[in-house]
Amino acid sequence: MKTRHLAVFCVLFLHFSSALACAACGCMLSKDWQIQGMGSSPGFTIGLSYDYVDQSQMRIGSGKASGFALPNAQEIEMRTRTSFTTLVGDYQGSGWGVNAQLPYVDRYHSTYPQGSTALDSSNSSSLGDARILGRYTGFSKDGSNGIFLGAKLPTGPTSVNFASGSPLDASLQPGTGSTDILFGGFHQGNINRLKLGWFIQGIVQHAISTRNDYRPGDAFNINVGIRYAKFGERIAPMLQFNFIRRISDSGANATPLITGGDLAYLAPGVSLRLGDGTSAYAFIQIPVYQYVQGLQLTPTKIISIGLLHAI
Amino acid sequence: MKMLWIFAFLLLVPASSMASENWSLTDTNGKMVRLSDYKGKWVLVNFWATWCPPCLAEIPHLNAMKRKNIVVIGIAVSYSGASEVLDFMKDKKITYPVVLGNEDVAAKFGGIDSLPTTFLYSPDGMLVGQHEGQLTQDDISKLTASMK
Repeated sequence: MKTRHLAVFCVLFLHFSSALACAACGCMLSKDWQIQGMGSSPGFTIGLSYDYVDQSQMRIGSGKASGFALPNAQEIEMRTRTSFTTLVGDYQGSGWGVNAQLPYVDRYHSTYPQGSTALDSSNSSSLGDARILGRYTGFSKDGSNGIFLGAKLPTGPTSVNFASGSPLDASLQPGTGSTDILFGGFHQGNINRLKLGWFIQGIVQHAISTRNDYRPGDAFNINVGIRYAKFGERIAPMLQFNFIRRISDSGANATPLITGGDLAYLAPGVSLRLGDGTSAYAFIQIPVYQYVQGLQLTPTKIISIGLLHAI
Repeated sequence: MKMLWIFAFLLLVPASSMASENWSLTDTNGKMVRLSDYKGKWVLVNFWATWCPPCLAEIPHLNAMKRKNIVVIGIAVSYSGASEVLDFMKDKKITYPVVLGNEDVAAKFGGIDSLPTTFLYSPDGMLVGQHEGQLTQDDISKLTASMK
């Protein structure tokens, strides 16, 4: 008996979490797999996602850090809580597609400035940096391979201040001020005779135009995932491994000694098909390895939920 | 004996307990296709894709089944656009109605694991079998003989 197993994994679109705007917020999770690949239908899909990142663990290198005396010779960051509410629009044509994302960023950050015992904080709520990404999947009829190319645009503000009036670190602003190029590729397939689909995707982000003497470091992201792949299954468990290498920021307004690092996450999740083209998903990213440059706040978990609707 | 043979033929994969027997779909002509409209007839639902060679090999046999008064409904999945399927239907001379499917459509059948996958409904509207993989000429000859 001959069969062609459905590569139902239907990856792919990197849902580019705006987490890249800060050094150690987390990884990019592939959340919009229904949009792409064989499980998809041509046409428009809209989506809304919510990501919550609570950075409360101080880390030096790969080890946890705590118990800093105040005042300290260096800045001691205490907490960064960020939520990203992202509007997603996607169009799938014949062998190509385009995906646009506009995040709304809500961020609280607190820190003891260098040589101070007074906690300073900032709150900001604003649009973040928009992203647009084109993809080509016409290498094969089943769309199992693809490449993408796009840009992150400097639509988010870069002038948020602390309550004290001093400027917030460039890496913590809602926008980076830079225009970045994004490029990468993916492959998806099935583990034969098992009801598991899998994918691997990689993407690079590189700033090509910067402002305010601040250049965010390049980012290299790899996602690998498996999903229970029965085509049309209403509930689909999924597991991803996400890795990101972020190079330290550069420029006169950057803090290269406390930006950059390697972060790896395991992300169990589930999607629920609600019918009439609508589906919901939820993930939790759990750190399995974190190495940061200098002293940085890292998250203990990242929560992501969302809705997608094919028009 | 007839039903026993059909079961023996089709139960390579047991019929999914999740598969609905009350589905309605819309074909490429915009016509509503409901299982309940075909009471008294055998109905064969075939999931396929234009890029799937075993699926394409089945098409002449499925056309032949339609000529034998068996209701055949194709459900195309994983296509890049409606025009791709319509052009393909014309090129391959598909004579039975085809639905432009997706995961929501597959969900009405309890989901599928591979292509092609075929569901068979008895004249009283009951799902009597699910077959994964290509239906060969021999398979179909035996199946149609058993339906008489």
